[in-house]
Amino acid sequence: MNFIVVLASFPQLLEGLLITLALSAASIVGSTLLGLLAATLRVSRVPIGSQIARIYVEVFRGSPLLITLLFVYFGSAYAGYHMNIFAAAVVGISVYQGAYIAEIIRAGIESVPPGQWEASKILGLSNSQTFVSVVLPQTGKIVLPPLIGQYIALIKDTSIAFVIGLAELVRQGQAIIDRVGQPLAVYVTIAALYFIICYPLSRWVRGLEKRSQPA
Amino acid sequence: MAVLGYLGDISEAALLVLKITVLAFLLAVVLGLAAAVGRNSRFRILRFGAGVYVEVIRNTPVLLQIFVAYFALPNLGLNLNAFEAGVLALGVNVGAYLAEVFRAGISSVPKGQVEAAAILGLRSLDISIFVVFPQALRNVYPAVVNYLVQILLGTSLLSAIALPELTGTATTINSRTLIFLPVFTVTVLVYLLLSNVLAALAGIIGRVAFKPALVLPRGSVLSRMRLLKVNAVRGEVNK
Amino acid sequence: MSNLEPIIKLAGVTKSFGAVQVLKGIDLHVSEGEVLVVIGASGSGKSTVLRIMSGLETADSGQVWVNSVPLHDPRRAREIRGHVGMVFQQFNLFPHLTALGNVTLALLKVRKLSAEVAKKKALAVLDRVGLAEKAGNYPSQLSGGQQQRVAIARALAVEPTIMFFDEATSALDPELVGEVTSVMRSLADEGMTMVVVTHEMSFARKTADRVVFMDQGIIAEQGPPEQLFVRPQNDRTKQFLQRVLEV
Repeated sequence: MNFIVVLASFPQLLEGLLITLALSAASIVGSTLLGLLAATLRVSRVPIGSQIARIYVEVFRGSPLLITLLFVYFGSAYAGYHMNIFAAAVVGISVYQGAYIAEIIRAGIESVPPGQWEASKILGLSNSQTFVSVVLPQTGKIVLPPLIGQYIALIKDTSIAFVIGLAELVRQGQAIIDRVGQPLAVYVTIAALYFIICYPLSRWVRGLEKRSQPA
Repeated sequence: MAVLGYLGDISEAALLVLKITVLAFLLAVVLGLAAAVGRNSRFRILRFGAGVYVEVIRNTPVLLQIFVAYFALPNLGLNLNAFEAGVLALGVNVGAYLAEVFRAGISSVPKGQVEAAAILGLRSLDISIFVVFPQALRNVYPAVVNYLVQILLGTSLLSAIALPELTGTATTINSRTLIFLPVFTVTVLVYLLLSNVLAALAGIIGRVAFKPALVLPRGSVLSRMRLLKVNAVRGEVNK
Repeated sequence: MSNLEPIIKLAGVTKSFGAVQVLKGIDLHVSEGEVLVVIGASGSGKSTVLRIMSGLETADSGQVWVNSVPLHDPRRAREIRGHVGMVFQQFNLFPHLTALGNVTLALLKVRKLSAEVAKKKALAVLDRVGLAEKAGNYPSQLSGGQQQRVAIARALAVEPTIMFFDEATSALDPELVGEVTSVMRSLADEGMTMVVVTHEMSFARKTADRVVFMDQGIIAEQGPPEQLFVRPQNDRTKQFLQRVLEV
């Protein structure tokens, strides 16, 4: 392993890292909004809406992210609409991860005891008022650990945008390898960068999980 | 429907996907058990080694791990073809997750179970084999099935090292025919079929193999690790 | 009650969990065939005493002799296993085994009986607690009272010299308490040595040979039930009995 060579190309890796971070941030926002929407629809008992939310969750949880990315990027091109790669990656990852996040939020919503709904109804709150101001705030403690866990998975999954040609961290690394070789040194460096981002988050999740369980 | 002419290629690819999934899953179970045992070991070096394995793998992308297995291992004198590299990378990856699942499964067995068995006079090996493991296995089963499906979906990434699995095959067919939508729709359907069949099979096995019958959560294709964890926490909160 | 050497002897037993001293010097003898009932508020240390007698916890100091095994000696404490029975508040039945499987496990693995002999013996014990016809049921298919009776059968199967009951009826719905206490009572009638930690004052009054009242880690008062319940000497005992009997 020759890390000197890698060091010389480090600015290129940083460029990739920036794109990875931007893609992660945008997709976290997108997937959380989609997940919240799908979870709300799912528990709403609105006839068609909850069915659509269910199918959405089942389809994306049962197929690979790569297929979703190919669908969004090449599919939109075939449909005559040229999306830039970054936007396609944000859309693809958001839609895919949104399905997982929807299930996490749904489980959180369903964990709120029915008595909370009944108590709010008696107080005269409407269903949507109850949902927004009574139920959702209570889901935080249960939803947060798996949600952060899903964000970690999302950050790692941004690497799959490599396949549609996005110049994120892994692709920049691959470009360096094509130029100077040293695959192992490059991969170790990239792995270290991901690790530095994900490990603290993992530790945080573990702390949250420990705290949410009674001693 | 031009895509129908390629059904042979697609089913061949699907078979390859299943083959990789099964092999990688077996590897993952072995590695997961070894790492779970290692993390609870008396020996510091084993604890440390297992800990590094689990944390490094869980906090780096699986695509990167696939590239390491295929492009970097030859530098260390280990030449693997795409199939072998794929099985190795996916097995090593999911093994790290299973290690945590197994560990949680063992600690999920209440202390009172061990106490009751100890007072009856059972030796600690017998307590592990006849009291703790059967219950731990039952507790981890849904999560293990979930990771089996994760491996199945993860095989799609092996298209990046030119393995003619399902996604790679779809891309090839598409570049030849340019009938994007039908090809990829069929591909998605095949993935959904495979993941649902695996989950359904696992469900049947769960009902038959566990006494009393283990019923996986209904209503979704997949039993879900994270949600089960949520449910466990919820149970505690309501208590 | 027999006049032989006591089968359980505790002398100067102390035990702390972290900074909390749960037992502050316990001296206690139990004779063979005696039914000793331990009462007291939660946190008084009564369950800890029971867990020390059964070898589940080790005393910090003092001597513990049970069935001639010195439980204070960590090298020898294991010898008690398989010779005493314990019934837990939460049953602790093995959920993956049937009632029969629960009872036979120790017979097969510890006593090394053949499957046939173990089964015959287990069925006999299950019959003794009135559950022979439930032998094939899993714990989750039994009521709480039935589960606890299976747990008693499981403990009895290894022919223990002493039976310990740790709040065996506390987790049960009130209407299910009777079926468990009646099994316990019949055991007492048969001459089993029993140490029972319980909140069931009527069981204590009717079945105990001797009642021990524990308070804040010490034995505050002990005596035959008629004395302890009717003419308690200690103020703490009076207060405790007033509280629990008023309800």
